[in-house]
Amino acid sequence: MDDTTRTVLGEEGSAAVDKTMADLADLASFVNSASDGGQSPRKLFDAVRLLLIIQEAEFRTGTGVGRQQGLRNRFREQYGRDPMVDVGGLLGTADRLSLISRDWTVQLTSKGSRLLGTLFRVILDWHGFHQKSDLEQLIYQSQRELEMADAYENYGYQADSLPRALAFLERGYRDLQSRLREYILEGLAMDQISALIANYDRLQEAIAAKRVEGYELTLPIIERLERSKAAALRTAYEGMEGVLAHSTGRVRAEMSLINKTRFYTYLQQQFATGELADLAGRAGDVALPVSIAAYPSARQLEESIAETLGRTYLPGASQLPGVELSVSAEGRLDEEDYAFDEDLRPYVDRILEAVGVRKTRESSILALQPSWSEALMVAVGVGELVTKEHLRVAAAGETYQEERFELVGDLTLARREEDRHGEAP
Amino acid sequence: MARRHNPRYDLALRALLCGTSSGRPTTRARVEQLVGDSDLDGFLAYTRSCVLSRYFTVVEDGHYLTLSLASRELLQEDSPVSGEMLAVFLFIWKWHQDNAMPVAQGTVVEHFVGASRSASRSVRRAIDQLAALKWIDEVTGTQGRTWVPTRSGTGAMGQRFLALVVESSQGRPFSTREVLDFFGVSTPSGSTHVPPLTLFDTPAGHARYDRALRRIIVGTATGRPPTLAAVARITGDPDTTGLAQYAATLGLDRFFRLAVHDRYLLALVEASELYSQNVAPVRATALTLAAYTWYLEEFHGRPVRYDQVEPLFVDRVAKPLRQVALAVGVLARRGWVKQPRGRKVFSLTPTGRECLGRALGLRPQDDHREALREFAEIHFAGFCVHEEDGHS
Repeated sequence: MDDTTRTVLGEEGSAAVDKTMADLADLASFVNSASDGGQSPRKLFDAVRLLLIIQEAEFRTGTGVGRQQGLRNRFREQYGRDPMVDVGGLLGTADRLSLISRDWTVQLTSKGSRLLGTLFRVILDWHGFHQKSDLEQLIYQSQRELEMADAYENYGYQADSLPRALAFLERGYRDLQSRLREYILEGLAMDQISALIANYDRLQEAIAAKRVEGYELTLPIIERLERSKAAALRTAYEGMEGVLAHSTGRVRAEMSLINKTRFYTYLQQQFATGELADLAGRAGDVALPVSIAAYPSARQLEESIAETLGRTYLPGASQLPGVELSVSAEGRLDEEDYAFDEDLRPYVDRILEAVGVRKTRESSILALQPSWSEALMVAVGVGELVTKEHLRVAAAGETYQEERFELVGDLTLARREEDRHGEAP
Repeated sequence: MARRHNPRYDLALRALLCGTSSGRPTTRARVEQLVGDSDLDGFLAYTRSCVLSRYFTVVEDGHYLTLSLASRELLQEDSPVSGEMLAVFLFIWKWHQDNAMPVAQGTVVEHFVGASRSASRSVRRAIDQLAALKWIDEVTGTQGRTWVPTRSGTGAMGQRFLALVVESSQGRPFSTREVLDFFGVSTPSGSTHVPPLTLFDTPAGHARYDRALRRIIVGTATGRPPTLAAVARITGDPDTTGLAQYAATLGLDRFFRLAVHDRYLLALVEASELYSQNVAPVRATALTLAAYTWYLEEFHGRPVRYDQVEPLFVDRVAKPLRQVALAVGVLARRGWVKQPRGRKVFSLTPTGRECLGRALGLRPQDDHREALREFAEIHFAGFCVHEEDGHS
């Protein structure tokens, strides 16, 4: 906006500003008092009505109203009931704030008349806003801002009406965008779209008029307006498409020989009877999503169990390259020559080294390498020592199986320097 | 000329065949990942020409891919779709078609609220179930939940079913075209619409084998696989050799295998590759529960109670029994276990046993009991107590 425009907010310590704020505070004080601190808006409504009765009497007769009782009687005559607000208290407050003068009659002061006028205009304005449905309020408010712009800006005040009108329009089209289907369904879409676009046009006209009058509007607001209007037009286009589809759907439905109401009623009647499921069974052509069972590999199953039970699973253990299965100087376990007679601890160490961990569970290794499993099982079964005799028994089968299944729980294999190996609790 | 196969497409089809661990349809993104292509046109064309299209229909609705099958048996016996769900779906579909608007949940509830005392709750449940099937999709609205029918949903409604519903509601039959127009389903003009094949009307020379295969597929999907005798009655063969040869000739082995468990015939998918691709049809918890259940059934008898398997989860999850219930639910949906309604017991189905047996690499001639004992001692150490010998 032009710098020459007056702005109230820029004034510091001016007497006019102080008086303006004092008036506002008085008005607020009156509103606060009449509505019991905002708790009883209806009392405020009656209070405004009482002040308007005083004003009306002045307009008609040039005199005031006959004090408290006269005011109450006028109210009762006009609205058919007693006012909800305490008339005496109201007059006291108004008197304290210099809104009225009390003599033989009660009259509005010029300050009271001015503040009541403002109050009444606010009431009318907000009533107009709240009478609109929630779908229409934003566009109404934008329109109102534009209408009010002239009232202030023609007097040289910077009221920021145009940016505020634009902000409301932007909110309006966003609202239209997000609730487009609702608007279409309510039959309000076309009205809203045309009101929205008309308001954009009006705003542009207002800006053009300001330019003609010599006001130089800043570039950002013009750019913002153009961007916003383009977006609103896109939304309007989508809205019109939706309206068309909506109407086409309705027309198609109306043209059908099949009675829609009967169809809907039938669905309602058969909802809980199971009739539709029977019909589906009879027809046999309702396609249902199905899945057939699938199985994983052994390793995946074992991994799953280990994962669920919080145990360590060593997937690489079965593929260890070049692992020497025995450290026996006399022979190899996997060649089954049974020609050694020694403690298997070095063998466990060897496994751990090959696996690359310092500690593991026996089960994760046993499942992968049967020959290790046999050696370890036997080792545990005989107290960590393997003798030729025990291995011969193991090779024989049955006895070995007995021993094998007597193992309790899982075994923890650990490095020699830690705790060697032992049974898990 | 021999038909070319695409292993990636076949893998994606296997993923669709065995479903997801969540029970929801496979997402388009997941299929794109398996196929290795963000454009699924080729894959969808492949599915239409693939042998699986004899039994299943692949429906793609922009977000999900669903494999569906039309079967009287499935609808009449173990249908995942209730009459209430069908009523609600038809209402949403028709209302949406009439108004070209998403249907507010309140509108649906209002329509059915007079149908029964608890209609409001039933409608909400039906809507949730339809949403889980992806027959309807929620649309973000400012005033509560709103729904639109999906292509999967409208595509699932067969013409015969729609015609029957219209006939019942109007008191007289209407032509197919009128019915389809009523629901806003477009049909190519000038062409005769061929309704999809169903279980009992497959033409061609090998109809009996196709019927047997459908019977096996549906039976496996519902946890009630047919017996060898039942299959023999359908095929007219004394054994399954002819059926197996027919399945092999069609190339069905690329997608699922026919398996015999006890006296039952099953269709099973070998899913190890899917597990490695992080597409698990059954997750770790449910797999563990199934394996332990098998052990318990073998050594302690069936059915298995919730509290028997609860120790697997004690100290591992906050609510072990809830975990058991969830895992049993997953297994039941996958056809691995069956559970009497309202009771906290369950038992493995032949499908579940065969899946576990196959996972463990057991052959029919193997001593399953002994192998299971050994497996349980290794993997369920600390949880195993054999009743007959008292060893733990």
